Amino acid sequence: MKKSLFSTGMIILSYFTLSVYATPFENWFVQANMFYEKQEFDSAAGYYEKIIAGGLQNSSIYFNLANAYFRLNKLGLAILNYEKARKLSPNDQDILTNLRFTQLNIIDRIPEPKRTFFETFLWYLHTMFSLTLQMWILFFLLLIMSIAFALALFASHNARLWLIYTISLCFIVSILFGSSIGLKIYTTEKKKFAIVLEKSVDAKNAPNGDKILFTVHEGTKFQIRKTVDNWSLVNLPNGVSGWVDNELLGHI
Amino acid sequence: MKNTPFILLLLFVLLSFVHSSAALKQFTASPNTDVATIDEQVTITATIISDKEIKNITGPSLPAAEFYTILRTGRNQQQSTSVQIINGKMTQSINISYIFTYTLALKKIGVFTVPGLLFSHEGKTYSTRPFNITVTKVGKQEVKVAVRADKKELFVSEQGILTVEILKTVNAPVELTNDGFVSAISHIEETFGKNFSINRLFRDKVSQSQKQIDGQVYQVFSLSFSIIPLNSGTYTLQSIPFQYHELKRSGSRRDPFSDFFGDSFFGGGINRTSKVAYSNKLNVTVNALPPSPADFSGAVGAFSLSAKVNEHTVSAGEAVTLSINLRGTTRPGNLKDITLSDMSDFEIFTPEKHTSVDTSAQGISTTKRYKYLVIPKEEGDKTIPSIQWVYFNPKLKEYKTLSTSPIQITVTKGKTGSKRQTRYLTQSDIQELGQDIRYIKTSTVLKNQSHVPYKNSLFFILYPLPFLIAVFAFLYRIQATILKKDPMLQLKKQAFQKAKKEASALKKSFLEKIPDNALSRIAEIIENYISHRFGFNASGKTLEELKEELVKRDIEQSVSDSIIPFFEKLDSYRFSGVTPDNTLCNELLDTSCRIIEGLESRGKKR
Repeated sequence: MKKSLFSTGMIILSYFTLSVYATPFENWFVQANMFYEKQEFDSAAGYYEKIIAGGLQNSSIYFNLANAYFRLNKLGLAILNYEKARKLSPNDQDILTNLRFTQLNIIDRIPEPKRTFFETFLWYLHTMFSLTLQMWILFFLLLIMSIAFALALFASHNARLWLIYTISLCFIVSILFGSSIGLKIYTTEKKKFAIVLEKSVDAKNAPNGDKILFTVHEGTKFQIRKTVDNWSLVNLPNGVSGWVDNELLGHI
Repeated sequence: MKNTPFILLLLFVLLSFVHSSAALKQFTASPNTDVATIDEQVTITATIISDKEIKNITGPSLPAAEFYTILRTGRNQQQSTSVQIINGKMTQSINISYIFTYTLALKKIGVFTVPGLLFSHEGKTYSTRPFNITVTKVGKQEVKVAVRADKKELFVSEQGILTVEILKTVNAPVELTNDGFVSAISHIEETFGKNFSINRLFRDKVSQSQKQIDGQVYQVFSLSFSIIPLNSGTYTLQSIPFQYHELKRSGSRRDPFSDFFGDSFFGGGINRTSKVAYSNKLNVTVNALPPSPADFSGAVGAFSLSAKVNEHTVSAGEAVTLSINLRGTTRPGNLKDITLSDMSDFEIFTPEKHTSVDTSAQGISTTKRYKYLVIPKEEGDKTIPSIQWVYFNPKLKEYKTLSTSPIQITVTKGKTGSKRQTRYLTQSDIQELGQDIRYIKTSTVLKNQSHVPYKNSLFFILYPLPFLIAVFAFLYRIQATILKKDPMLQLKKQAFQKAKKEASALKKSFLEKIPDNALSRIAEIIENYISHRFGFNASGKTLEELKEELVKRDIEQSVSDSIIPFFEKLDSYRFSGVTPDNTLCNELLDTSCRIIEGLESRGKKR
């Protein structure tokens, strides 16, 4: 009996600690950082790529890889990897700063749609916490609500009133967090983005089309609306759209 | 006879074909009046009647003539169907009328012939008959329009003020409409838009004042524009037509229906007649600028330039703010930025620049304010040289140079003595130097991260938990309410736990000392359990009655049979007067517990 309990415990423990890697990623990581320090950015990038190819998804690796590409003046690849890093750690200031700085160095300036003060405020709240943290906060809010509900069922009149206030407050905050989580999940699942990796790319009127609608340059970010064969229908933030060869894009 | 339907069908098709190529029935044109005063508008109505719809019809052309201007055109369409039955034979005819209207503003006095209107349809050209219109003088002009410019001659890029004044006799029965003002403004802007930069010097409201001319008081509405010529030449502003309404009392005031339902009920009883007043013509001559010096800024007008510093004595390496103000009567685009001459003794930073535009009835004036941060490099008496700016003065018709006085600054010894100073970094410099990517992350736990935490199974396990807690608490609350309402049920539910608890307490007490009433208490535990669990009083019953009651409640015969010997044994010790020892008491208590457990398990199965 004791043995089976122990083995079950080990399985559960290994499940939760499966994501922690010791070797060889750590060795490669140290190697890559050394090359970076010696300004051998090609070799550094190679090692970071090797770690990613090994199946490790970590924002620090993407961040360092992006830095190496930036030093190699490959702005498209740099922005692509900063974006990948941001996807994993949305509130990391280092990532955000480097991404902003790299974007200043690209050719295309596509103005983002302007937001009102209220929209900016809502956007700030929406992006303030990472999705994981938001999910934990929502879980604890639900837990507090359920416990307060259970207590309210058996509490005296006055105490019940306070518990109802608590539940109401938690409910409102839960709605806000829930909406934000919903939006983030929707964006993650439904909206796909890509970065231009070539020096310049022509967007056509149709897959293999003969008419060029617009030309964009390395590092420009697109939203991918549709993919047909090897072509993607892309959308710029200002609403312009066209078909671009997939091979010229890096998918985030 | 058999072919009759076929012949009829053929005839119908042929007739339809003939019908489809029918020509116009009528094309006429007539004015609303033959005699008009020069300030009145004449409307010519052209009517085309056809028995078939004319697709993509364009209106007849009204040939141009000197004595009128077309103010606006309009179009209307009507359809009528007439049916005639003669001797039982029914005929039907359709008339489609296309009505085109041309509103003319009259320009000359005399008798004039309006030429026939021309209309082309299916390769043919139709014409109406010419007609005469007699244009007479106006008895008294209630509205006048005057256009004037503050200068008849301008230079290229010089600002002039164009003013349109609409004068209305005070208390005159006329109504000035928004449309009149809007069309006058559009006329001016269209005329001057190509060769001038034109800006309105009024905002939403038209300024109003009163003026007395030849003993007559007028209400004056003024519209001012700033005009800045872009090219040289002579430009003519043709007469501006200004439309307004003349108000007259309606003649049908006595009609009670008209009084109630008509205009008078809603404050009317007044007829409005459209009239037009014309402004004078205006010529503006624009002269080219004479050959300019190399440093000409491109500005034409009146300008002023000033410069000052916030401190005249500073240490080497410390900043001085040099403020420069440039102001002039032109638009911002014509006011070129100033340039500082060589100042090798100073380090100069990109200036803070502020442009303000002032619009008034006197025209547009622009002010540019510059704030330069200048840092003297070494100690000594230093001079900020004179700043020069060349413009063209249209009054003097020559180029002028504005210059500021040189500014003396005494620079004292800096922090590192008399050596040339390394400048202190301003905030913007710090930002500029910081423009690089942040360094790589070297100390990090290489953990696999997921951008889809919502797919983590941990959340799938945790998220239902609060809901389960809530549901469990809710069900528990319902059960508690039911038990509270039914005490018998509550006793029944709690009987087993209570019996076990009492037995456990009694067993503990046996460890210290066997109480005198130990056997009675054992009997009491089991009797209380039976009473509570099965809902009848077990203590007052004989063993046979007890057995019967249990059997009645579906307790198996074997179970109820096992209770009887236990009670007999218990009673034999209780009433024999023998003091039970510890072993006996424990044995009886254990037996009672087993019986209770047996009854509980049987009871649950029921």
